[in-house]
Amino acid sequence: MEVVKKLPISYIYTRMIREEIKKLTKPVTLKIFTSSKNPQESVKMMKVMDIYQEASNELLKIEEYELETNSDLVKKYEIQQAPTILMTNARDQVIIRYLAVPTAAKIQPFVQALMVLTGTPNYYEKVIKENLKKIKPTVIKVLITDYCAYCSTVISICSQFALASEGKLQTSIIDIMAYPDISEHYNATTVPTLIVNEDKKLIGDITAEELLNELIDKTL
Amino acid sequence: MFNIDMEGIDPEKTYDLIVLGGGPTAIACAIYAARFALDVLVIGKIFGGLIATTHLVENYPGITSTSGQGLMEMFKEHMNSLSIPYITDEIRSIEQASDHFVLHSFFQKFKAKSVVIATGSERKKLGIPGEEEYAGRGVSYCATCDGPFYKDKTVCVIGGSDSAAKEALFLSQNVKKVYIIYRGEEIRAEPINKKRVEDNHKIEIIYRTNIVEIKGENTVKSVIFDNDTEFEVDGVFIEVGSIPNSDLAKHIGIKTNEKDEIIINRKSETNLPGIFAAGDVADAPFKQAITGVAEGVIAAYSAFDYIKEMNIEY
Repeated sequence: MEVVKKLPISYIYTRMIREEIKKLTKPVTLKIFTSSKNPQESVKMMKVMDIYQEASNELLKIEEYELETNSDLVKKYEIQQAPTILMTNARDQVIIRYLAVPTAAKIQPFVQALMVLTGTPNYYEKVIKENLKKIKPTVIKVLITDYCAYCSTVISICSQFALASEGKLQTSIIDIMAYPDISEHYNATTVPTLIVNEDKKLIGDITAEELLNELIDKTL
Repeated sequence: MFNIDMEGIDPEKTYDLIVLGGGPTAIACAIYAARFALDVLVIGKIFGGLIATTHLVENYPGITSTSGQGLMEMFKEHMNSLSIPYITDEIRSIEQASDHFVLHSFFQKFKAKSVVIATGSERKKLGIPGEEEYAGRGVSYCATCDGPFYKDKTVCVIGGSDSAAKEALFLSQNVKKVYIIYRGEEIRAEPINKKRVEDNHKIEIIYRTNIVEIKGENTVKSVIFDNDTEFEVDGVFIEVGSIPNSDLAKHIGIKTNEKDEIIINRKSETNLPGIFAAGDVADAPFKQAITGVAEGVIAAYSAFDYIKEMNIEY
């Protein structure tokens, strides 16, 4: 009998991507900004996105824009670095940004966000909508790595909150191994680290309830 | 399906079994429950549990070597193959109705005929000055998460367990030097890991020493030993054991021992009929992924038996 030894990670993740994306049932379009100044990450991003697209039964459409030659869109969507994936709502508002190639811990929350974007019910939606008036407009930056045990869950929570918030919340998923300058900027030495409105730093396995408490304006 | 969307989740129905937890014990329990044709839902705070923070798993039969996260990916795939719904949430209270339990979280309410508590444990804190202040700024409880931040730096691991030894071994791949600081005479690692530590020139063990304070300026700069020595380090990884996540159980009258572990019998039964417990949260003396898995499987069988015996329709 064959003994299972260390499995090649790329094989595992390719299989996971194919398994997850086939759950998509409705069409969705992603905008991806790449950059000739960051060719390595840009090429990696598009290679991974090809895997998603090929397995999506033609439901995933990708619009690729080069950062250097699309200044109007760069300005409109406030793109500062590339590669960046944008998930936008029906009003063309950016809900989720991925400054991260969606592999490893990001695969499931990434596909899950696509599904919710196309109409799959969101577990947190009811409570977020009930509290929408009390929630301050907020950008949540989620600093993560591929090797972080808690990141997948925290990405999921932050993404689902943003998707339920009718544009009040925006979540950015940032792989700090790909963007070490962002990690240095926030002096992050642990993952996941959440930066809430450039102001508050939350670390570790924060729960949905704890995050909601941070987002609610207690004076309202 | 491992998701926090609502697919496969119906708050209106009464599940045969709700499993609380996101680690190997909970997932193994759910896999067996699904194979017993029980209508099962898993509610976990964090998928993967503590083992997902372990960089090396070499003692799970059938798998020569993988990471904790790798092992849990396999568990997840197995769970997905049986279409077991999983949601990320935390149950805060359980109340008993006539023939079922009602489980409340901040976001939702669920009903179940039986419940397995497999909420595991969480890392114990040292409770010394500087620990909270520098959490996330040099103080860490997860080497696999935060180790890459300390490339070519000097760090210390506090503790003398097998987990502490494995944390030191993982960190040694990137850092300049790792000091294991342990209050005892000899580290308690598995012999295979103890030898690895002893053979690793980047790891040094400081015995018979406690740290009493963590100091820094914005980030960690040093630790203070109980002999008043100040010792310079860039990072402190705390691995001094774990405490069971049994608050929910205690709140509903489930008996625990002096370590706050849930007291169970050979059938994973607690003192409350219909509520079972398994894994790190329970009172087994030896806590491993595989022993938790075994208890979780027994809990699934006992829940199956309980529903059958109680003549509850399922």
